[in-house]
Amino acid sequence: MMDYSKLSLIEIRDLISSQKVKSEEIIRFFIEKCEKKREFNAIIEIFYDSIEKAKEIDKKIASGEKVGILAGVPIAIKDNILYKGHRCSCASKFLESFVAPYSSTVVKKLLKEDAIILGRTNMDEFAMGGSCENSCYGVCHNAVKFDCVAGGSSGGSAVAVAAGLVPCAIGTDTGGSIRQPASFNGVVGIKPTYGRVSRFGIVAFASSLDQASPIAKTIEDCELVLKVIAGRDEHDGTTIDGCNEKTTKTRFTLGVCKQVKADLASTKYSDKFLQTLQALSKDFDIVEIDIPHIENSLSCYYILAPAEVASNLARFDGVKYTKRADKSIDLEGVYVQSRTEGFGKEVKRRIMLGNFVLSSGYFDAYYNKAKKVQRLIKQEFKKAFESCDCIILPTTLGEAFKIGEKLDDPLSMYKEDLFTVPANIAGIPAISLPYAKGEKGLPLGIQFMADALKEDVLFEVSKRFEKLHKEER
Amino acid sequence: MDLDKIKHLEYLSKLKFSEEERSQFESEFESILSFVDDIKGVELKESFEKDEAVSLSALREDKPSSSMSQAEVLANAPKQKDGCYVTPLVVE
Repeated sequence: MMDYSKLSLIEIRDLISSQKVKSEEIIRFFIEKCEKKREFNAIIEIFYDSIEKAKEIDKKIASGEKVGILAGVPIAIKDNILYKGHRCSCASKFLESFVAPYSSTVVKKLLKEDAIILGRTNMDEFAMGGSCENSCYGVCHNAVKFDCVAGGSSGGSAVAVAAGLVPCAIGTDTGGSIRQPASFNGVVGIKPTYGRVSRFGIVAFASSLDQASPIAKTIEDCELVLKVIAGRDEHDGTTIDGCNEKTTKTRFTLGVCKQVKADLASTKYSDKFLQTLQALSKDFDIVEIDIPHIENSLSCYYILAPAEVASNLARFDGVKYTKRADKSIDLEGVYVQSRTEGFGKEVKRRIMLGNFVLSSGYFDAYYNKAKKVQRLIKQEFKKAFESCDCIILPTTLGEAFKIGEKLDDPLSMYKEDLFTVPANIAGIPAISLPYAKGEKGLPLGIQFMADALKEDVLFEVSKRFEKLHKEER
Repeated sequence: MDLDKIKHLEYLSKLKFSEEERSQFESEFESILSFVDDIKGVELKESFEKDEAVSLSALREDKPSSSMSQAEVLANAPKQKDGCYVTPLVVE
């Protein structure tokens, strides 16, 4: 049997649609791969009904029936995305036996194009974390180096793609949860403009920041899958239209943020980044840009996101969803005991932090102020994009760190999000591409950010970067 | 941040911690709050000081349509009876 794990999603799709290979063979191949490589702990459940679904697609193709643009291709979903009749637990003890009563819009759109949902991927509990160590299913391991973290929170999705367990996986990104693990594992991950992808049927973390999107091996795969799942949805009032057609622009300007330079200089691989930047000046115009308050993004994030967590996770009360502490004798006891037993440490930390910034006496100084600073940052980004098409910066401070290294130091874990969070705070699209190797061969990612609604520019710049970068090497 | 505040936040959060967890939270909170405190120093122009107008979401047409059945909604409840969630007694 051919090794399909090296192929891109589009290559697999073309093999199936041209009837060179059956979808069933592809699905069985990837299931076997997932079963053999369980040690990564990237896929927490394989959906075996995918084999039957593949047979149906094969029948359709054989009979000449029209099929969707993802016909027969396996895609995995993060464990916070609902797929009717399948378990969805957010990697939390609280929801371990929860079965989705309906499908998310993302899953419906994938199924409409005849994609096959292969399984669910590991994550930090309720998507809170940057290492995929906070999971009730245990730690997910880096695809390149086993004793290092996968990154998070969509660690399982990134590792599954990088280890060849599936050609594409959907993740969610609230503060960098797609881009950081993509960077740590050497794959491509995009966070679209806020509102581009419907959040309906995705378990809420911070609703004003959450976005679902693909992680894949190539830019083209991400572009195709994002196009499928994007668009307005009557079940999510914040959604906007689907992606733009390809940009007609031929020359692009990259912006390097003045204020990020100091942070950059302190990173381990600033030389590599600056060399790459130098090489890019042949094909791109490079300018310095000014975003005076970009560095306050991280503080805004760690005020606004926990505030939304405290509200969104109030629904887990031991009455409606699966888990209840049995010993409780009164209703208050049911709430308190179920939540205390059901949630992990990081989730509790963020609920407490959220309730603090929302509590009487602190609301104005923290939550309200952070909302205003967010507006200021948004305006500063808008202005910066008047003089450049994309902002370029690294995705992370360095390569994947050792498992356990930052687990007892929440602040140092939070600081990992330094370069990814600004895009969430500004609501703009951003992509992480593999571009270099750090110590021990661990991958490093480079990040591009574009103005809101400009995913077309982001993809075009990414493709040019990749082409140029390959020539350089 | 002190222990009384932590206990109040536990009450608001409907969570319960051991004494050891409380003191750990106390020190973690101190460092996280001193980190996010930098936003207090951000000077805002008057226009930002005004409350943000509520941004209205696009609403769908108010037309009734089919929904999930009661059985489907209750399927994930830890305890249910006669189409209702079961909780400990709240009124005598």
